Amino acid sequence: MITDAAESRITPAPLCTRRRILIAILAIAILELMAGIWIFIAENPSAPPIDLPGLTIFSPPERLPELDLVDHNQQVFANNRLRGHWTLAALGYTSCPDFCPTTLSEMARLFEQPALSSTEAKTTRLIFISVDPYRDTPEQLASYVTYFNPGFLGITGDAGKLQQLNHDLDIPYGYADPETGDPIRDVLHKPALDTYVVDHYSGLLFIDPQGELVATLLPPFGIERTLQVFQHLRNQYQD
Amino acid sequence: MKYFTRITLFGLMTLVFAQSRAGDITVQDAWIPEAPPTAKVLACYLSIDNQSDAAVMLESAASGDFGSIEIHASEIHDGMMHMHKEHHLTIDARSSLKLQQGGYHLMLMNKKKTLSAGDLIDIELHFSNDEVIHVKAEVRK
Repeated sequence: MITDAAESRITPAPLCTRRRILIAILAIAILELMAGIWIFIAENPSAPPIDLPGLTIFSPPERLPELDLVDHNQQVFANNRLRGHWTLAALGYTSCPDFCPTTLSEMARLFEQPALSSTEAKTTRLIFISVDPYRDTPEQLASYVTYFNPGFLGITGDAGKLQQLNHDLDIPYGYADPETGDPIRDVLHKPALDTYVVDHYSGLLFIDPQGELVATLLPPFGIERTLQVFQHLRNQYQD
Repeated sequence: MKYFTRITLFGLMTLVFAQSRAGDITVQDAWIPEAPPTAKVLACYLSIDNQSDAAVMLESAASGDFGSIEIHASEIHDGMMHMHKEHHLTIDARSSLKLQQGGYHLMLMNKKKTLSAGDLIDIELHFSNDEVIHVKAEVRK
């Protein structure tokens, strides 16, 4: 199209001049293309894209449902508490001997990494969402979670609200009989067993400073793997 | 004096990390991750080596510092973490089994004292061939 327009304007010019103009236009087009590529690369510093097993990136990020939970200081935990900083969230319960404390101590080591010592990283928050509100009172959560890192925050809430959150975000949980492994369908009432276990979504959620879900990562987390994902997401993130 | 200290230290370390041996079954590297003081349950990890020609089963465990101990397994299916009780663990002939984070573990319940890093906890393991192996599990940060 550009060539057509140029030709129509320069119809009376001699053949050699037309060829020069054509070469000049082609040269400009090539330069523009290179500049375009350069700008594209500069704006996407994380290219090549990250592809790790167990990692799901949501593009565009997923809006979180309306949160109405409670933190371990008995303060309301709503969506505004997720804005202005990055949040890593894990699901679990404090009567868990193996997976949950392992995850929390791994996260505690992650938060001690020098790569996370920038101002932005200092404001990053880890929240541990207990899906066992019958046994995990805010007091129990407070002493449990802050043992790993004083900045970690325990969250729980009304059984119905937890169930809704897990349904909306597709991060399921349920209770089970440890003897048989049989699931207990009802999560809206405390299981009648003396001891019950909580089966729960095992992944880590990455929530951006707008309070939107940008990625989930399934275990094994590993310090380096989690750090790689987090840095990738922070690089990709634009206000 | 320096040598004396070193030898004493070495002697202590040997005691602490010594394999607990009884017959052809050995248990090594028993440890308990330190947990928040309010943790209701803890885990113990260890490796069991069976050098005999027959399979043996770990049937139960007990400790004076805990009301009860169960054998549990954690596993992940379709992104969900599940945990259930195992009634025994089989260690095949001439092979070993590792109880480790995210897999098999001893679930320590009803603790009688708060455990801190460095503590050594006596645990006895009962096997199907009637062997009882005593281990000292180190509490680690």
